[in-house]
Amino acid sequence: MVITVVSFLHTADWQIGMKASQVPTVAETVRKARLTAAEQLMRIASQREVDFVLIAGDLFENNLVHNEAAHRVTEALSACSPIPVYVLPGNHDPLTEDSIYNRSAFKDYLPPNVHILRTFEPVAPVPGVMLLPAPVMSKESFDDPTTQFRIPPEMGEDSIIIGIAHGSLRIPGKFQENDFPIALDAAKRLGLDYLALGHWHSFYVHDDERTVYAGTHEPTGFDEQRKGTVAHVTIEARGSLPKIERLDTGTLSWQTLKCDVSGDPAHVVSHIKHEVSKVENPSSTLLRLELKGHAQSDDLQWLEDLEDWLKIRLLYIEIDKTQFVTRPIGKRLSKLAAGNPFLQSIISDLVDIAYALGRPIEDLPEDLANILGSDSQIIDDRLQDDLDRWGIQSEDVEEALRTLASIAEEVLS
Amino acid sequence: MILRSLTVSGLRCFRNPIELKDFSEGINIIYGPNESGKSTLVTGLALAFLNRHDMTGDAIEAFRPWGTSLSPLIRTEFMFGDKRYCLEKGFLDNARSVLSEWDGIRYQRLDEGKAADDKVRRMMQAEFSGRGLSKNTQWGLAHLLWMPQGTDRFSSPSLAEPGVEDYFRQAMGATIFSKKDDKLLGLISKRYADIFTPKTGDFKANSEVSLAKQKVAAAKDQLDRALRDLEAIREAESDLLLHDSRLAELETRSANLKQERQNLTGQLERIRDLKSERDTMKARLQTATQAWETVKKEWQQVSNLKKTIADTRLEIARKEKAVIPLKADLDKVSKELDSKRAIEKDLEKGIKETNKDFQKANDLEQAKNRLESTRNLAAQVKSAQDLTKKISDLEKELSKQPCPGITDVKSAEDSKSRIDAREAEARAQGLAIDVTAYTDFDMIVSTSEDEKTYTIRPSEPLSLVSADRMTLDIRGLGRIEIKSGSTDVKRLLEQISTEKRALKEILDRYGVETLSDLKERYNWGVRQDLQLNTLRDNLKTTLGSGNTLRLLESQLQKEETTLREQCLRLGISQEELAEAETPDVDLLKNRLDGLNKQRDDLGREILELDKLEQSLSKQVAKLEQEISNLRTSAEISSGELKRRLESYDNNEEKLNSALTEKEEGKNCIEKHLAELERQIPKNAAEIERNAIRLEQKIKEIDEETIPGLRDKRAVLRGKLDEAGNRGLYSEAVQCEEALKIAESNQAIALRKAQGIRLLQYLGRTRKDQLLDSLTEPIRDEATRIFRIITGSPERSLELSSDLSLSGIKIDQEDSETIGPIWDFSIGTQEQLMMSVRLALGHFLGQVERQLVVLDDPLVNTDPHRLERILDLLEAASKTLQIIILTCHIDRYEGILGKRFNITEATL
Repeated sequence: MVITVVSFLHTADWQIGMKASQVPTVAETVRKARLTAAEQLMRIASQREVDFVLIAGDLFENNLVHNEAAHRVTEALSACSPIPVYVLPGNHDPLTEDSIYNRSAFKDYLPPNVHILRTFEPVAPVPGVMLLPAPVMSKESFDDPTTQFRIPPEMGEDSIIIGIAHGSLRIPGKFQENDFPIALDAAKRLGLDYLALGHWHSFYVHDDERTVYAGTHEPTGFDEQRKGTVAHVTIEARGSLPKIERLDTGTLSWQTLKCDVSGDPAHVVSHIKHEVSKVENPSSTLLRLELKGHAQSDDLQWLEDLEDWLKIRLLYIEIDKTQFVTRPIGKRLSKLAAGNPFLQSIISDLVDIAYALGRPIEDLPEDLANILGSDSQIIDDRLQDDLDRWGIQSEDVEEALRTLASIAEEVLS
Repeated sequence: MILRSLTVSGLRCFRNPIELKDFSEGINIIYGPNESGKSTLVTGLALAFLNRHDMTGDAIEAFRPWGTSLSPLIRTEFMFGDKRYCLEKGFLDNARSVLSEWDGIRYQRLDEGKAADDKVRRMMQAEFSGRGLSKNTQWGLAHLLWMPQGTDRFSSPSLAEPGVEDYFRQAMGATIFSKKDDKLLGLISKRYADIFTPKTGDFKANSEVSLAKQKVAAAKDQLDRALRDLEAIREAESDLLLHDSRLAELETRSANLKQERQNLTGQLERIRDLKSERDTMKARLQTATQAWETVKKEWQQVSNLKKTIADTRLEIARKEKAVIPLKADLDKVSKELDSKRAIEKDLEKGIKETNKDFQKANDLEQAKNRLESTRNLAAQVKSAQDLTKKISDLEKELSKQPCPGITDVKSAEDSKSRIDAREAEARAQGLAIDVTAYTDFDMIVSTSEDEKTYTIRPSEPLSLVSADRMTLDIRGLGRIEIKSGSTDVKRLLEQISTEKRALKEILDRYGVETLSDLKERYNWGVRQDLQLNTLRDNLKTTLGSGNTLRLLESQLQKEETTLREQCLRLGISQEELAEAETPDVDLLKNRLDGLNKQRDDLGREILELDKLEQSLSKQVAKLEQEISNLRTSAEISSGELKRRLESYDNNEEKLNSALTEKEEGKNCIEKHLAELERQIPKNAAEIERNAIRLEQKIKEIDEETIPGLRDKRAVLRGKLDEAGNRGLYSEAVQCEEALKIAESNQAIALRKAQGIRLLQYLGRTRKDQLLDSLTEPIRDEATRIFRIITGSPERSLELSSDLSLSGIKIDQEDSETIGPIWDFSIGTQEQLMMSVRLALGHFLGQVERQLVVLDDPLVNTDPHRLERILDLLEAASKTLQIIILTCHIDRYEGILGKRFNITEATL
């Protein structure tokens, strides 16, 4: 029986076992989330009763991931059985000597519905459909993988031809010569009805409306703008334009929140809390909080408290303070220093050291600036030597001021 | 605080109470002999003001008077601020503490027990010890101002304790460092101590930073290992690819080689067959050749034998012909030789006779010559003997009379001259008398030279001179002795005497009386010598060069003996010999020589003939021998020929036929063999070598190279599989993430630690600076006092900012040295301690009058320094209450102050 309408899921770049060193404390959770998303994807396949599933490369992050990951993947892939799943090796999991696809999970324990495309031999997943694979055999290449598609001579005229490859479309500025460059007109030139690609992590449909990147099924970092995606493709007949439906997948949410903290800390905290409360699944959300502006006060307890609050609620919180200018010497410290020559002398020394280290303390409170006066900010050679020997940096001076403020507050107030 | 009174009982030697009342506000001197309890009083003060009343233990028990169960009890009245207090403190069984304040009429109880202890302690800025007696460093103001006996005597007071430091600051009017600042610094220091080791400033091993660092290091280590393993796997993968490629290449190569081998196999088989046939043919040829050679040899032998026999016969004939003339020559030579030998014999006889005549004539001539020479020699000997005798006589005569040399003669002449001159001089200076007689008389005049008798007449006056003395002896009248008193004359007389002695000595040596005799002797001696020399010369000439008389006599004797023997041989006497005619020896000699020459010539001829005869004889013998050998050889050859031809029925033709047959057979086989050689390919060897090489190559590839590669491949495969099963990448990822976490934690811990380090450093530095400025006046004052005491302006005290003593600085012209205090004498050390206390007292006294206690501080001080110290104490007593305890009250005569005799104070 010849199927006239074919429906399949096109996914890629699961990169199971990938590292998440940018979020080291929750790296394992991030890795597990990718498997969870994969399972979810398999459920979608079953629910939508597709004819087959195509995974266009980089199923694994590396050929040397743990065996457990291999078994978990095969188990996940078997979830949509009997729907066949075709796995194309990509540049992260190429068919090299150390290929993960040589392990027992993909040989002795391979589920019957899972097929590894180890050669360029065309495959007929269902009658009337010809799948042309271009498995990746190395970690990099200057060759266009689509040039290795083998169109069998005995293929019927009505057969729907689907190419599956892994590489970079030759879009100027978006590819490199040794990164499996794929001709922009590959699908047309080869007469493909659909070219399922993997390698890029964002969903993309080329101008020919036949060449598609399904994107990764689970986002991998704060820099990725979208959620995880998968393409549900329907082709009615040979030569007809495929109908491509983008489905959002993914279990984790990577979000960035930018906030100006120049104002009253209480307002800042309130605003941030409000924004975070809008997050749908905070326990599955990784948030990067980018602070910018000048702190009003040297008292940053509010920030510490806020961080603690966010840590409890979210899966992961990263506070980027690179654009946040703190005030290590504020009213609190200047108040404590008033009438205390000893404290003033230490603050003065710290100000001089900050200056010597190339990061002068700015925005000194006026009263303290008057007290400290305009004495020379040059430190003596012996102190300079000691600072060099200890490896003191400007951030250490600020830390010293903060510590001094807290100890002084404990003793002097 | 100043003391008013002190009562102590039940404390060490004070079984009974001792009371000291009405202390002066200035100087107080408590004196007594050794062991009278002076230091115990200081102990009592310390117990009262600086210790808890309720302490227990061996330390306080030791203060009971020995052998009693009494307990220490101290009562003291003192002023603090403007108030007057009374403190009663008992210990052990009397444990109590009561502090009362004077209200103008009486003492009102203020505090008791611990409260009282604490209040008094605070007045002294002291600290109590946790257990037992408080230490000197806890004594607060007493630590700064009291100088007790014991181990703490030379410990320098310091501001190490916070309490006293605070009081000190107040006393100095310092506002720049408060207690709260201390607390602030203390907290910083505590946090610092949690993180850093105090001595080195390194992170403590158990600090957060160190632990984080360890974790980072461990994580790095793990990550490095994982990355190295990953790298190794990548390399293994590359190697595996290479191996696969190489393996495929080798397998292809092996297949190609095997194909090539197959192609060569057909050729090789054909070559082998041909070679086998060729080898067979070669063997047959060898056999045929051997057979032919055997027959040929046989034939050759026969031919040779025939030829040999013919040649031998020819040779025999030739030699027989040659021997005939040789024999003839030999006969001829033999005959001639015999003839010449006969002539030689006659000649010998003639020579013998002639020689005999010649010998005889020669002997006669010799004897005659000897006779003449002997006579000449005898004359010579006689002459020499005469001369010898003359010489001997002359020498004897000379020896009898010694002769002076010219030197002695000259010396004697000189002495005489000097004597005469001096005598003349002496006479000129000596005595001169003129005697005029009135009547005739005789007078004997004696001088040192002589004695003479003079007859003096009136008409013949006498003038006499003498060098030294003169004695006039007038017969019948008397003697007059006249001496010269002139010293010059005396000297001259001495000189004359000396010369006369010298002259006499020379004369005596040669046995003469006068100088003239001496000269005569000398001249005689000269003449004798001359004659002696002449005789000696003649003797020398007579004897000849190198001869002596004895030699000549001996020679003469020998000649005479020889002559006698010759005469005996000749059979004649010497007289007959003298008369005999001299023979013509030459004629006989010539004749003899002629005969000898003839004989020699003949001998040579005979010799030559003999040689010739021998040679001819040898030649003949040789030829005959050769002929004989040839004959024998011919016979042997004939026999051999016969034998060889026996197998051919003695038919030489049969032998020839056999030879021809064998030769033909051999040639045929050779042709066949040549044909086979032609058929074998020229490069057969090369083909065979190639085949062998191919085989070796195939074997090498199949049995060594490929299996080896497969093994290596298996190993690499195993590594890859292992890496895969291990999940090496996942491992590395986890290590990297763990490292990030550890590094982040380390950075946080380090930042905090660095902050604390900075605060600690800056806080301490600032505090030291403050303290330094605070204590500078104290240091200057202590140095001033010390310089006054020692009288050494170049010395100064080195005190740290907390007043602890570092040493004594001595300024020299171009350097300065700091000597530790123990380098100085005990006296100087005591003075140093006192200087510091007085300086401290001076400044602390600005708060209120302070109590300074000095327990016998000047034991080791010299009188000069003592005087200066007493002046200083008097000056200090204007602002300080000073209590001095001493055994030497006399030393303090120079200062005013209240004195307390401890023995009198006991109740």
